[in-house]
Amino acid sequence: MNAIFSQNESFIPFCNAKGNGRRVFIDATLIPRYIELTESKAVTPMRLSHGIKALRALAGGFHSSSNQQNAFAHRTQVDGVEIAYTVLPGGQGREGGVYVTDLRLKARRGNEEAAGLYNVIFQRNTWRPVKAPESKLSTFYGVISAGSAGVNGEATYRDAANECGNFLAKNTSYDGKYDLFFTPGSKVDGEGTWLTPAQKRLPLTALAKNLAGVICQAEADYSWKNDPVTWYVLEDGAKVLLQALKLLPASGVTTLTKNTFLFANPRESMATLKLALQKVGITLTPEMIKANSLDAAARVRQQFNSQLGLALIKSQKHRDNKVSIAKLPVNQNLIRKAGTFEEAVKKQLFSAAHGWT
Amino acid sequence: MQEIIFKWPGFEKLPINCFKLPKLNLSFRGNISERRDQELERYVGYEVDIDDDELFYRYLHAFQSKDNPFLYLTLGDLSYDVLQQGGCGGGSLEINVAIARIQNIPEVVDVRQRDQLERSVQFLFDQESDGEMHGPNFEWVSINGLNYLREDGTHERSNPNYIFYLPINQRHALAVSFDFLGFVPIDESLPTELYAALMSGAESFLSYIQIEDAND
Repeated sequence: MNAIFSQNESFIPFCNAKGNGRRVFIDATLIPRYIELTESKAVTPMRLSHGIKALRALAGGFHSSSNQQNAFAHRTQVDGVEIAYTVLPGGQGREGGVYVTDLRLKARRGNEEAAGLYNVIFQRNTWRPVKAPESKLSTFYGVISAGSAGVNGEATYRDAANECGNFLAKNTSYDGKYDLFFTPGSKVDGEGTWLTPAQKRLPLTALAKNLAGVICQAEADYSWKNDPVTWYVLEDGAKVLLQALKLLPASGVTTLTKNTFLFANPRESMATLKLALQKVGITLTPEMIKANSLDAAARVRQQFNSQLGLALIKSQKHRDNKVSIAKLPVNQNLIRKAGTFEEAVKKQLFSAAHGWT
Repeated sequence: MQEIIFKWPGFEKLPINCFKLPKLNLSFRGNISERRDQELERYVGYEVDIDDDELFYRYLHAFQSKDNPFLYLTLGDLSYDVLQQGGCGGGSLEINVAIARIQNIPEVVDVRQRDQLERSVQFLFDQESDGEMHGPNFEWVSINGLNYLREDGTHERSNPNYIFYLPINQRHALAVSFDFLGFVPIDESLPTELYAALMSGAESFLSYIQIEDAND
């Protein structure tokens, strides 16, 4: 029932500003997500911070969407990012105010059919993604990526195909063809409360199942070849790969011999990925990870677990998005450690500049 | 049959981009500068010497050959979400604007001749086709006094794609490619009325393209 607030007691004030209006609290598990979003082109740090602060006056107002099941839950948009929040009155040991429960990329209109496997060919001056028949790979080069978010929200599969094509052309020797497993940003992070009809057709777990299917298919198709398929896992792609790897042992796959993975700026804890890879017989070595020292978002993902000493990621992954009014204790312990959300973000970015943990 | 109307971006209000070619001035509307700043290697500068061979070679990927029949200089990419008026349909529109050097094609010396431009595009089409392409279904369209060759570049397993060619001089043409994402499920063909609605969007973008002598 009241899953969201009883499971993660991790709400902290967004900032210290005093003044009129409601206080704004935010789920501390959103720290890495917040940094990822502000690092992308979808929103600038200033716009997002201002958008959240403005909720003290605007929350639940005319310009926000409201949840049909719950009159307290609302959603508003800043550039390419959607902010989901709940407005709660005080009482029952809870401070009244605006509780920000989720931040995510706005889904693009062109993306209804877009998640999944594509064969990418170079035609004219561009890479053209072509829907792959029956999860079959056409080459030995694969990329798992969400592309990078643009000003309108998440990337389209066409943008992602171009971006990954440029990445491969620059970093590998290859002949202009590859396979892309596209994982649009709106499907990567939890969504449940705000499913549009189009998104309902392809929920989050379906995407991971789809990828697991592609990986299994490659094991079967390439069994007669010596060389494995090389998957380049870029940024957000690591999140979906992790979920797919968890599905493999259950479907009877215990060792992967025809799939290998290389990670670039993975936005998922590599410690968790290492365990998941071990279960399918792949040992993660430092050579498999390439990180750009400037990508703060990827670094924060690595450090986040240990830094705040919280099992936050876990609760973020398994969040039940059914927003309901219930007791909502603001976590005093967490506030002592992290201060406000904005201070915590600053601390994270600062420690990210000092390397991986 | 009911007409479908989309809310296209108001191209008339978007910024003008002007390229010096250098004997000609080419301009079109749309906000391309942000994307250009993000991927510097992908786009050519605002002053383009189209007779400079080295310039074209610089924008080739490592796996491409200098002898390709078409060499490209990319000017800009645009992307818009499009909603249907009075309906709930829609999709997104992706536009790519590039200058194509057309070379090494038998019996083609001047692409300003209609049959020679058609032959050039057909040559490239045949070279790249994997047997699953629609098209090329050439058609000449006149927009705002300029004559464009339209090619259907749709792949059977991809979204609808149409490319418009406008000859610039004897071996260069402007190539404007339109991708319509999310309007119809992938691998389904466009219904007639939807096709007409999409083409009117493409033509509203093209109607703001101008090519003038630099001396005027």
